[in-house]
Amino acid sequence: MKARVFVLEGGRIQVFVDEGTFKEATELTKRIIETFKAQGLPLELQGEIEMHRSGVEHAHVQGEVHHEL
Amino acid sequence: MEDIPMPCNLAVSIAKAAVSDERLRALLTPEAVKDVVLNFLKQQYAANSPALLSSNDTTLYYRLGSLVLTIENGVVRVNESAGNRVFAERVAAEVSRLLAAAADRLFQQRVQMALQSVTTRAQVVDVNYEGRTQKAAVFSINM
Repeated sequence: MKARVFVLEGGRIQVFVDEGTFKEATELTKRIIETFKAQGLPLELQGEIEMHRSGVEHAHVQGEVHHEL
Repeated sequence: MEDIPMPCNLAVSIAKAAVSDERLRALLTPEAVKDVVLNFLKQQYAANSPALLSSNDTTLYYRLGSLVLTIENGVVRVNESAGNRVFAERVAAEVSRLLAAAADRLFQQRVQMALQSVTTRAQVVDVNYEGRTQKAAVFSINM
């Protein structure tokens, strides 16, 4: 399944799962968080995993890519 | 630069996560920031002859003119002996901002390493969040 992880300032991330049902997306999100923990990066979910809909505040890409990492 | 088409519209789910401030500061080990801070001080305050006085597993000590900077657990303290409080506060604020940016870079590197085996693309983009624009690394993954 495809997903994107945005790394923001202040030790924060946002996980966007782009495929599957909401249940599958939720399971993948939890697996991603566990992957970080297993590698010594103790990220904790902030609030619920949300179904994407208008009105959910999240990072919006402005439309330009600065560079590839 | 290239255009990328409204990627949030693709998402099935969105989740937010974070490490604690304490864990973020823990990335700022003396080894990780020793040279970053010294190079910054040399660039900004060459006339004050900045130098690393000493370091150990937890703490860095720098001299900057009459000031002594101490960095421990990502927290900056400046002891000034010549009554130059305004200058000391300015230096402390600047080095604190430098360390915050360094912590963000180190955090990004840790995320990148954790996702290395599943990453298909890694980019730096501008994002609008909480009413302001900031740069963000975005890792496209397949799991």
